Amino acid sequence: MSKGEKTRQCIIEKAAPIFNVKGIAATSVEEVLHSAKVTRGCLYSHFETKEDLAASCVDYLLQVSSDTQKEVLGKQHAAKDKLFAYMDMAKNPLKSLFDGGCPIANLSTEADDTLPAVNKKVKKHIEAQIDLLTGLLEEGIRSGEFSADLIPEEYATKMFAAIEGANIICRVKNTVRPMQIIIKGFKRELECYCVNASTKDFNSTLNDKI
Amino acid sequence: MTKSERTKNFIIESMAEIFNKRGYAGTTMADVEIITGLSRGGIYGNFENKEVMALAVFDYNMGKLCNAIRDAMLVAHSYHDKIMVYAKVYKALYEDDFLLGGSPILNTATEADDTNSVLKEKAASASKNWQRCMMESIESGIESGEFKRGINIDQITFSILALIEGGLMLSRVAGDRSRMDQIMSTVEGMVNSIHA
Repeated sequence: MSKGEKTRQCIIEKAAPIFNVKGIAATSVEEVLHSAKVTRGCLYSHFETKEDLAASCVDYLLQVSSDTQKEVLGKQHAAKDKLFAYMDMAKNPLKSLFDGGCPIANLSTEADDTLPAVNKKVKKHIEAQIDLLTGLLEEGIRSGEFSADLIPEEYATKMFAAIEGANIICRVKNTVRPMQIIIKGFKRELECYCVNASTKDFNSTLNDKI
Repeated sequence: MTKSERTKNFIIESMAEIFNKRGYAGTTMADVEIITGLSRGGIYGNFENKEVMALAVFDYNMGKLCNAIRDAMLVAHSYHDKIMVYAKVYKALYEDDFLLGGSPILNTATEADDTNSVLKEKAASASKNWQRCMMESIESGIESGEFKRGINIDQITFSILALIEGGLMLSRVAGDRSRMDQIMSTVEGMVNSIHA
């Protein structure tokens, strides 16, 4: 990484949490300059406008979220464990990966009416999240872990929507309880679709005999 | 209504959409001047500062949302329908039917959670109020025999509230009505599952 690239990256890393806490409209360039300890000339040599900087910060926030998620899910093998790990990552909305809470919720409510470029990025990220969850559920059905009664896209959409919604409710009320209750419900529901390993063995033995 | 009350209401009504769409921080006093056509002095004569105005606008938008809920409740005869009112009103928010810019609770909650404690408190109390109303509807539904006994009221209430908030957020970002429809049928299925 060249020195210029390093400076650019440093500005993004300092600015991203500020944008996430305060929102894009409420963050001033002065705050970013102060936090990144760079001059205005330096900042504008890397980013044309505040919107340009905000867009790079959005990419960064979403990328770090995806990377962290990939790492956590990568440690699990079974589809059920991966899905449970996904839910556990969301379990404390008051203590999230970044200050300011879930960037998806923060960015989407601000961007939906006012920032089409950011909205596009968040939309793409959300779709990728639902695809990821749908994929895990499909994989679980194929491998015989879940029953075929499970409808992957439906479960994925409602799980994603409820987690985001609970996130917002918890943060505004300063409590983690709604999220915990919701996660418990989704885990219990998924468990109902789990094909019990011993039953499966029993059935296959039965089939062998027949 | 005095002239000053009329001006105050005029400012609130004119700014309702902008505050809900751009947020508190994203709306400037210059925006207020342009939209209302009033001078800065005229505006400050009615509202001490932008925060006081934002709070009044939040109350106005919440009032619209609560009126929509109240109207729908009048024609909801079963407890099933009463619970579905919330989901239906959120669907109407997606359609920009009676309020432009989405849910004021959702918008204010995400903006104010870290930055403005007075607004945050307002959004929190609105959210708590809904939670209480929904729990009461479920309890009454159990007493009347419409819903099963022994169901987990907290679980159902939080699931429905989270689904409609998250579902609205998701469909507005995606600009996709089918997401909201999908969430609606999930909520409907949830309510069906507690029928006695």
